[in-house]
Amino acid sequence: MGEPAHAVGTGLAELTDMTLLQLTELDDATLDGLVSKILGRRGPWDRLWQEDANNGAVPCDG
Amino acid sequence: MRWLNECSAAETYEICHRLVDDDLTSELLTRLREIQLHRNQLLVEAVRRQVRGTDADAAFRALAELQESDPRLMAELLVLPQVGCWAVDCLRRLRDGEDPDLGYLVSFSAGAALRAGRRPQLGPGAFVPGLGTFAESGLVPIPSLHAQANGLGLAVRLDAVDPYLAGFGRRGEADPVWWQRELGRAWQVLCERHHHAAGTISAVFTTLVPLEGRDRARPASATSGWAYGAIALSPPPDPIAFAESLVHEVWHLVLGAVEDMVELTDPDDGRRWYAPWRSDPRPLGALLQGCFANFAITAFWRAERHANPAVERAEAEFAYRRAIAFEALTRASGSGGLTGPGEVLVNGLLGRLGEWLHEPVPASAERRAAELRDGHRARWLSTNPGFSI
Repeated sequence: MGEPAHAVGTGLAELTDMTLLQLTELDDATLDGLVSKILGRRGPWDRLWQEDANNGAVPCDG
Repeated sequence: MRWLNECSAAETYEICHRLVDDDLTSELLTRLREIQLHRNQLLVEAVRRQVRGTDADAAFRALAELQESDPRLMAELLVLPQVGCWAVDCLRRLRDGEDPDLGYLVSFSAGAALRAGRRPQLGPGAFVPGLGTFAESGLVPIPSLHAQANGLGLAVRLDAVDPYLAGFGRRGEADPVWWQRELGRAWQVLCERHHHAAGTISAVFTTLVPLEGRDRARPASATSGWAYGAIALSPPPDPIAFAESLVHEVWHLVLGAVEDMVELTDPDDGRRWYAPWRSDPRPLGALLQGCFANFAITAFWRAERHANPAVERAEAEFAYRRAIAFEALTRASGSGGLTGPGEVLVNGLLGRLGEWLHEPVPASAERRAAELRDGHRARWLSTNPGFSI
C-alpha cells in the first residue's frame, strides 16, 4: 500500500470556497505550497495527453 | 495545511473508487469542475503576485470585482480551458526570466466586463478570449456547436484562434457547418449506445479545437491537464471514430482534474515505462493517464460490439484495447510508485478489466490484437535501445 492520502492531497480541494479577492489575502507560503504541488516539483510540466499517430489503432478494414 | 490535506483524504479515496465503478454522477462532475475553476483562480493569483505594479493590476482587480458582483458569470469564464494554459505559460515564463503575456489578461478582463453588460474599451479587431473578436458592429462570437439526442444536449465552442489553445498540434479548418453535422452524428451514437458516457461528455467537454486533418482511420486527438474542457481533434472519418475520440479525451480530462486534487503517483519517481500506445517511454503518471483512457475506450468498444455483434471492427478494437490496457495497468500496479489513491484506481481498473478478459471474442480478433501488440512492442524496443519490457 502506498502513502495514506493525507500525505498526497494537493490541498486544492479545501480552497474551493475562496474567491479571487479572498485569495489575495492568502499568505505567500500557503499559496506557494499549493501552486508548487499543482505545477509539480520541477515547475510547470507538460500535461499533454496525445496518442502517437494511429499507434495501436486497429485498421477499419480488419 | 497538513490538517487541511487530511480532511480531503476520504474524498480523494472515494473519487478513485467512483472512477473505477464508472460512477461519474453529475454531483461528482460538478465537484471536479469546481476544483478546476479554483485551480485556475489559484494560478491566476500566483501570476498576479509576481507582476504587481504593472499595467495588468487593473485587469486583475477588475476580474476580482466582477466575481464579487457576478459570481455565476465568472465561474463560467474562469474555468475556460485557455485560462489554465495562459496562467501556466506565465508562470513558466516568469520562472525562466521572460515577460509574461499580460495583454491577454487585459483582453480577457475586457471580455468579462463585456459579458457583464459593461462597456470596456475594445478597438476593432481586438481578440477577446473565449468570446470572439470585437468589430465595429460589436462582438463577432466564436462559433458554437450544439447537439441533441435522446434528451441529452451538448454545447461547445469551436475555437481555432485562441493562442493558448495552440499547444495541441497544427490547427485545421474550423468550418462550423461541417463540425456541426459530424458532431450531431457522433452525438447520436453516444446517446443511443453510450448514454452514461454521453452524460459525462456533456458535463466536461466545452471547447473543440480543430486540428489539421490526416488521412487515417483514427483522428489525431489531444487534451491537456491545464485545459479542462478542451478537446483537440482532427476531422474524424466517421461518427463512431468521433464518438470514441470524445470518450477517450474526456476520460483524460476527468483524471486530470483528479490529479489536481491528489497525487496518484510518486512525484519523485523518475522512471520511464513502456506504454503500448506510445513510441516513447513514459513517466508513471502519464502511463496511468493512458491506462485510464484506454479503459474507457475498451468500455466503449465493449458496448459497440454488444450493440452490433456482426461488426468486425468492434470485436477487434475490444480485443486489442482490453489487452493493452490490462498489460499497462499490470505494469503500473507492480511499479511500487503509486500512492494509496493511485493503488485504489489501478487495482480497481485491473479487477474490472480482468472480468472483461474472460468475455469471448472471435479468434480472428484475438489474433489481430496479438499481432498489433507484438508489432508495437518490437518497434518500441528497436526505437528505444537500452529499455526492456
